[in-house]
Amino acid sequence: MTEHDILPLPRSDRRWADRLAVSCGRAAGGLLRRLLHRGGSAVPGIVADLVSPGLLLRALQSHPLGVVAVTGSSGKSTTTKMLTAVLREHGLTVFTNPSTANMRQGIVSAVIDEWSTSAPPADIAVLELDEVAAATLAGSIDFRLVVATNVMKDQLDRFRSPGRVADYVAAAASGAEAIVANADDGFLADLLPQLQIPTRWFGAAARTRPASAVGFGYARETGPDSARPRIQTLVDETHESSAVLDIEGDRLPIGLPARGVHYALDAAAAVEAARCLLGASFSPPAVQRAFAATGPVFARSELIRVDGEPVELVLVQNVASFQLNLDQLVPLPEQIMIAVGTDVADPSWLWSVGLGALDEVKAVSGTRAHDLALRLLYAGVPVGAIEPDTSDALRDFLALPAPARGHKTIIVTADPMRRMRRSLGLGAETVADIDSSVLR
Amino acid sequence: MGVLFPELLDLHGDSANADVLQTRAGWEGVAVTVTRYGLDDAVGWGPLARRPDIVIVGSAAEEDLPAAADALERIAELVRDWHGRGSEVLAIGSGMDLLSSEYEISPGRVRRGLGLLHGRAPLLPSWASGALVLGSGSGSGSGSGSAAVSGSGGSGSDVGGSPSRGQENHARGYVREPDEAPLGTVRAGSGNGDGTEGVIRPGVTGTHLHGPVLANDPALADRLLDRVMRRRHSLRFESRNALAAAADAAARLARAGSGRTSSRGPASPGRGSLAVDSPSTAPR
Repeated sequence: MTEHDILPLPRSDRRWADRLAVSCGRAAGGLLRRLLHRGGSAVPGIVADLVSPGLLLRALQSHPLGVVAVTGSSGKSTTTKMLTAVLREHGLTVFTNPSTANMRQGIVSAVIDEWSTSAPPADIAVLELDEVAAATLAGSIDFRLVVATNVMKDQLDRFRSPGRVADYVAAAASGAEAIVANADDGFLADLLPQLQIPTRWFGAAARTRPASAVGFGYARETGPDSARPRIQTLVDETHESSAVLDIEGDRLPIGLPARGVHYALDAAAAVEAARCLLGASFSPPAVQRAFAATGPVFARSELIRVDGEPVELVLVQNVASFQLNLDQLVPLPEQIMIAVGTDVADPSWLWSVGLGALDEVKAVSGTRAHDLALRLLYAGVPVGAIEPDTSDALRDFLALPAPARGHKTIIVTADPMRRMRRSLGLGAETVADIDSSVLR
Repeated sequence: MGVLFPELLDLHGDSANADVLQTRAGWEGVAVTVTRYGLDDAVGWGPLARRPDIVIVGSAAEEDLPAAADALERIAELVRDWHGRGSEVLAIGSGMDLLSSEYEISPGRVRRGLGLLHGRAPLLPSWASGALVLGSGSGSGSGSGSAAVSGSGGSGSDVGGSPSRGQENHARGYVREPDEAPLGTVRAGSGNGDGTEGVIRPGVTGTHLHGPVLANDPALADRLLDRVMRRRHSLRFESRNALAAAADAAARLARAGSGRTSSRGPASPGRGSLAVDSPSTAPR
């Protein structure tokens, strides 16, 4: 992205061009929404970019406290939401993008949705950025802070190897004023110090490390304590729905949406980032209020009600998130459905997830249903229905009588999650109770 | 069954192939042990001295290749000895490069491999990533002299006749020696880079199809198990059980990329079955 304009305009006319760009973008978005009955399109971004190139950079640079980039293989979305909540609790206005818009065109669209040339810009922008988008944007804008969550074997069909993901994250951080990074991540602990930029670290106490073979799920772990950089914010303890952070000796208990050291690590990242940005204004009580008030928003799983029956939707993206989420399902639900869709171009990674703990799976769905069935069969897990059509599979699964213990649980990747939400009429907000007749 | 250095050679879950073989053999009542040889293990000594019947060399991330090569070189003589005494070696993705006679690290710079495969692995014009689909029909001895290989040559398809397919993610191709047959011909994707994919020579099978290649291509899995059973016990191996049939049906449907065909898994009660291509689903 550059500041190069198609038509050179005098400075005073830029705002006119930007307003035009915003209107065109909004019009295009509105038209699409009416035609396709869905939002989240990248078209507004493309249109606006064409009408007034450089719009994105100008919009981002209008925030007095600058732009914070949150990037890495996983935890971006949760960390971004947590940091945003903490900063808002401290009284800052924050511009942030939805998780579905973490690549270039989506970001521009998000800017159009929230930025009006007549209203004052927010104090600070906190952006969740895909690794490539972050590296690209770093070429045009100096981030105030880059938060690097981790590097995993993730989207190998896109990135080829974790090393390249690490390279993108390092490129994203290379022009930043400061960095907050994960000390337990071997790639980050190795690469980022070479940038010679002030860096603060978060991490987890050894006893909080998951026991499964996947561990934290990073492509490389730093290893024994002596190899780790000095950690400013440490996850010291994790509990059912809370954790205790050790912030350079000061203990801070915080509420979390669910069990799982990965939530606590995202919280530690957000807290350390807030400390960097707020300096002396950093208030531990404000942090606690932020986590207490917005807990459910951070959760990666969602409890909905269909015909009065609770149903849990668990989103998974890669080996680590699948393993960690699966290991949290204790006791094991009686009725489980798993759906893997076209967002998983290469289903090989399903074989790196330990599925032996499952008793049986009632239904497998999504375009990769047969690959999933194959994986489960070799893991010795009996499979019920194999139905690639997500709507049909969902309808049949929901029609099962309620389990004696616990609730129906659906484990999904991004594509079937989107389809299911559409079938159920679920928008961004969670609906109180869904009538399953919408599926017919 | 042995898996070499899964810390480095398991980029796409390739080590799961050992578990696939163990499970498949178990379905036919054949007991198999799987040993994962770690980087810090004393491979070839004490409890790890026993020669595995099948050795799996998986794929490494490009940045891990030097370390993987060093680790393999430390046990090179042992691996050659295993192979010489009858072990079947399965090389996947960059595992093929590591076992070749030499492979290209950067333009013009080559490194010697273990030499279990006699061909060489030069860099492809561009990185090969995505679906790799093989043509049906035999791919053995593609016109370049006799292919004197033990067992059957590559067929590029399973017993059902539908083409093998999977995913590839690699920098290098493979130039076969005259006495090396390919696994099959390429219908879509890169494979070896010359229209063929994979390699078969006595005791070594190599493929760029990564991840659960043996689950996706059960005929290849059974051929490997058959060779081992014949050598060790003078017995044949063939999957004739309901679970393998169900798994193979799922593999066929996954390969067909149907995304539209419903069916029923084995050992589950419930509504009427819409079984497609699968036999009676006898409970275990």
